Amino acid sequence: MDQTGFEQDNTKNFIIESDVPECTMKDPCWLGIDEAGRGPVLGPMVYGTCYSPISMKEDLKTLGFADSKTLTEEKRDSIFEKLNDAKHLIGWMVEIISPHNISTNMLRRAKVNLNILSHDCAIRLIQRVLDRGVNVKEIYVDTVGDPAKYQAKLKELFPEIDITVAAKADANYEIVGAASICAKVARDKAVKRWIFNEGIEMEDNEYGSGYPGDPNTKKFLMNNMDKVFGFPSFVRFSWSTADKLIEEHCVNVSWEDDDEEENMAVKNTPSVVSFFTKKDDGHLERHRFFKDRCLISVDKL
Amino acid sequence: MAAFLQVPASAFDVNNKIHLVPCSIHHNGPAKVAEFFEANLKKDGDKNLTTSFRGRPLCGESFPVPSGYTGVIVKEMKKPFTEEEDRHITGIQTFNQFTYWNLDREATADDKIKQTLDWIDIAKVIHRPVEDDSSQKSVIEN
Repeated sequence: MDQTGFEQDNTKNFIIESDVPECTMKDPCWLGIDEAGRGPVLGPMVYGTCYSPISMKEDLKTLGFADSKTLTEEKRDSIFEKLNDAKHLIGWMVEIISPHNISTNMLRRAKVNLNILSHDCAIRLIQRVLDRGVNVKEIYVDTVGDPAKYQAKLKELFPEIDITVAAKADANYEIVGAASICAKVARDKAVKRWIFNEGIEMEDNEYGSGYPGDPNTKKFLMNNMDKVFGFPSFVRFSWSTADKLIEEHCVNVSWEDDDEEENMAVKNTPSVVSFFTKKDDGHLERHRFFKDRCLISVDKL
Repeated sequence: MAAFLQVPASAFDVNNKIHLVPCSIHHNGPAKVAEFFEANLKKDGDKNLTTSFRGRPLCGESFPVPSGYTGVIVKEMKKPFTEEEDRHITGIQTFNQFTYWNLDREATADDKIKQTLDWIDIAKVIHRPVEDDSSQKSVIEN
C-alpha cells in the first residue's frame, strides 16, 4: 500500500485504492465497509472498503478473513498480500482520516461527533466506488452507533442497493472482514511511519497501541507535551485523555466561545429590578462605530 | 505620572512573524511557534490560511500594517509600585505585517481587526486642519 501521498501531508485525509477489477464493473458485486483505529488517542482513523462479484462469495471464505483485531500484524499483512494477488476479482479502497482532521472537526464551533465523521467517510467511499463504475448490489457495513438509524441513512442515499448494517459485520461477512484488513494494514503503516511535523524523532512503536490505557501511550503523551501548544498533531485533542492532560499540565487557554451557551441566557435576561431604575446616569454611550470595532480611547495604562 | 515608549534598534529586526490568535493564552514567554504552529500551517495564497491550535481549527489571513504606521509589541519591564511613578514601556518587536486568525471562520472583510482600521482613514479626514477656503465656506455660499 503506497502511502507516500499521505506522508507528504499528514494533516489532510488521503485515499488509496486498488485498480478496479474488470469483472466488478459487469457482475453484480457486494461491498463491505469497516474501520480501524477508532478508539486510539493517537494517529489516524482509517476507513476501508472491499468489493468483489457476489458469485465469488464462497471463494472469499478460503482466504481466511476474520475480524482484523483477532489477527496478528504479520497475519494481516499476509492476507492483504493474498487480497492483492486476487486483484482480478477483488478491489479495495481506504481513506485515511488524519488526526488533525478528527481534532479540528470535533472541536469546531459546532462540534462534529465521531459517528458523523465515520458515517460521512463510509458514504464517500461508497460513492467513490460507484463513481469508478463498480456494479454494487449489496453493501455490508460494520455499525457505528445505532445500526437501524445508520442503515436508514445509507438506504436513503443509495436506494437501489441492498444495505445491511450490523454489529460484528466483520466477523459475519467475509467482504467486511477483508475491508477491515485493508483498513488495519493502512492504519498500522500510517502510525508506524508517522513523520512528526513538529520535528519529534521516534523509534518504532514507542507510542504503544495508541489506546489511552496503554502505558507506552501514556508515556508518549507525557513526554511530548508542550505547555503552550499541548501536543503534536498526531494526537487527537478531542479525546478526553488528551484534554485532561492539557488541563493538568499545560497553560490555561480561554476561547471566545467558552461557555457560550450558559452565559448567553444570563446576559440576555435583564433583572426585574433594572426596569425600575433610572437609566440616565449622565454617562454617554460611545457611538456604535466604535463599539462594533472594539475601539476605546486609551487614557491609562 | 508620565508614560514613555522606547523602541530600541534591536526591536527593528525584520525577521518577524506575528500571529494574532482568537484566544488568550495565559503564558508570557517563548513558545515553539515554528514547530507546533507554523509547521501545520497550510497556505492558499495570502488569504485562506489554515492551521490549528490545541486541536481547534483556525482560518487566517496575512495582513499588512497600514502604510505610515508600524506595529510594535510592547512590554513593561518593571511594573510601577505607585500610581505616581513614571511608566516605561519598551518596544520589543516591530512588524509591518501580521497574520490574524479566526476560530473556525474564514477571514472576511467583516472581521473586526480589518474594520478597526477604518478608523485610521476616518481619523485622518476629521482631524485634518480646516483651511479658510475649505468646503464649509462653499456650503454657506450655496
